[in-house]
Amino acid sequence: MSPLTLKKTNSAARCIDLNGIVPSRMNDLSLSQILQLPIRFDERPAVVSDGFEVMDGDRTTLAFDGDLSNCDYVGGGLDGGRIIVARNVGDFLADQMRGGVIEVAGSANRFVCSGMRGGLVCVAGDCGEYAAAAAPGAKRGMNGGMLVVGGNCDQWLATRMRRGTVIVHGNVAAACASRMIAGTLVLCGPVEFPLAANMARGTILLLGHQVVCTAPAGFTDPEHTELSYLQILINDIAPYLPDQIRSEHTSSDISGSLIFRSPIFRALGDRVNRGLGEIIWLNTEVKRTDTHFAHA
Amino acid sequence: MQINGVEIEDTFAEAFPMTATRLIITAADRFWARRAAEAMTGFATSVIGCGCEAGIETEVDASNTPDNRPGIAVLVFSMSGKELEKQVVRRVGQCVLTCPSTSVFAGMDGEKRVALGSHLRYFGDGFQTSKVIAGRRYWRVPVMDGEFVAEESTGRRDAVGGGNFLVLSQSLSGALKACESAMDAMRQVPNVIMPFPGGVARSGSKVGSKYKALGASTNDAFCPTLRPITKSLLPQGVAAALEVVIDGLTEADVARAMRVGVQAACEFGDRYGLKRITGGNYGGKLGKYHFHLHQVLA
Repeated sequence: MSPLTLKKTNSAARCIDLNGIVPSRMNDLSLSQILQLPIRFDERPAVVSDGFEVMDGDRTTLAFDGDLSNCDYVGGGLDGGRIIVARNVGDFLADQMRGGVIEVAGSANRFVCSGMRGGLVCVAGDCGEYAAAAAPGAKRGMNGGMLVVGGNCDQWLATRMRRGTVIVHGNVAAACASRMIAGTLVLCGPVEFPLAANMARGTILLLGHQVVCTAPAGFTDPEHTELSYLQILINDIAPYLPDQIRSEHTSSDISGSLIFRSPIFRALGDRVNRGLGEIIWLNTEVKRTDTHFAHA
Repeated sequence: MQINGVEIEDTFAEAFPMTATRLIITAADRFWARRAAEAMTGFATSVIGCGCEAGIETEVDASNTPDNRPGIAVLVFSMSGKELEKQVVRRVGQCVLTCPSTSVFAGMDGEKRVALGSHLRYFGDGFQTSKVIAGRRYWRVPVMDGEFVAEESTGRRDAVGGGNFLVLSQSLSGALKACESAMDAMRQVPNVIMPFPGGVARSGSKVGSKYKALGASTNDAFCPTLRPITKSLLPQGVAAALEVVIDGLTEADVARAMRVGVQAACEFGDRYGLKRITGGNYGGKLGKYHFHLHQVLA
């Protein structure tokens, strides 16, 4: 059965706020009632019919047709079901999301998953600044759930992130994990310095060949280590890793389970802030301290 | 009723409601996982003196453990959730945390929880960290061989403790062999443990004692050396009685284990000199669960 679909018809508005337009809210509504659900156009009250056509379908899934680049808070408050976006979305994707799944075929703008508390968000394209980071006025960033980014992430990824998992297949720009409180970052591509400045706790797992091979300033020297909990983490994130990473780093010799075979190196920091954050490399070559300042 | 010439007495075994949890202990290899499990389930034969009854349930293949390492499933039974938690934390803290390379995970889900890593984490002295993966919290405690990983808590559920049957033989060696056969078969049954040494108790007890301080004392009716001076329940020619005690997660699990055990013990009954299989009970007044041997074996 095809999903309930909202097709964008109004491209005049500069900014559309779609907070609260989620499947659970539409379960018991008729099409005419859905068309009267409140949204905001350019900071002014409006209703769905002002900007969208509605086509009925499976109420557990909500599909958005059209370019939502100027639509903010898509999936805001989602607590179950699925939202599918055919193209790009604006700021604050998945704000205050507590459960369910959001799939974006295009890219997302700033503050993706900033206030997310649970569920799964998959963005096939890129994410703008402050993905999983604290929104303006908020003390904490992402607080649960999982964000998977198929493309690249702009600056300030996971700044003040508190909990949850972020997986990025592509490049990550500077200032990633700044003041990170806790949570897990899995970075499969190149990462720009500075990285993990003022990180308090949490885990950054660097999987790609192109990743930096030196610990940032404020971190200990990378040391070879064995961490049994990593396998639990890998079991959880394996379905969301790029195929190349999966084939390079893992082997499926135990009944289909992915087992990491690469040597593991770990550095702890940032020592100016508790120093319990960890950066983990699954590379065979990790450079030592003397190159810190070249990157810092 | 007879099985291979062994009389099955028309009586019942009396069992009690308990509460139980399952832990999965993993380690770098099966040797160390088993060492930890054996230590943790040591001195856990009876709730009367040990606070809990515990035993190894089964080995768990690496593909079925959370960290893909070889594991051992352990069942722990106690009379209350509070006492169960106290015993689990103490035993894991002293026997699993201390054992090289081990980790411990919940082996049971459920709303009722028993603390695990949430208490043990304090050993980390502030260096411990936690990681929430797929909705479960794991505590990582730094230790001298790396990290001890313990899941936040494990589930617990209502269970049945004290299912039993007694093996009466013409000789001690025959009774031992029959019990060994029973144990080999019963260890294949899931959801049960036999908490006594080798799964067998020789010191079956009765309620009460001539000494005020004791709530239980030797079951003189089954002591062969006391046959001339007590009201013995041992048939003529019986020289030894051994009791197999079973704790299980459900009544059906205990009944299944009893059936498998009695059948295995009786398989070579004549070779072992078995005269009778009977059940231990207190007149049906103390235990909620009654396992009638004829019904169990029907």
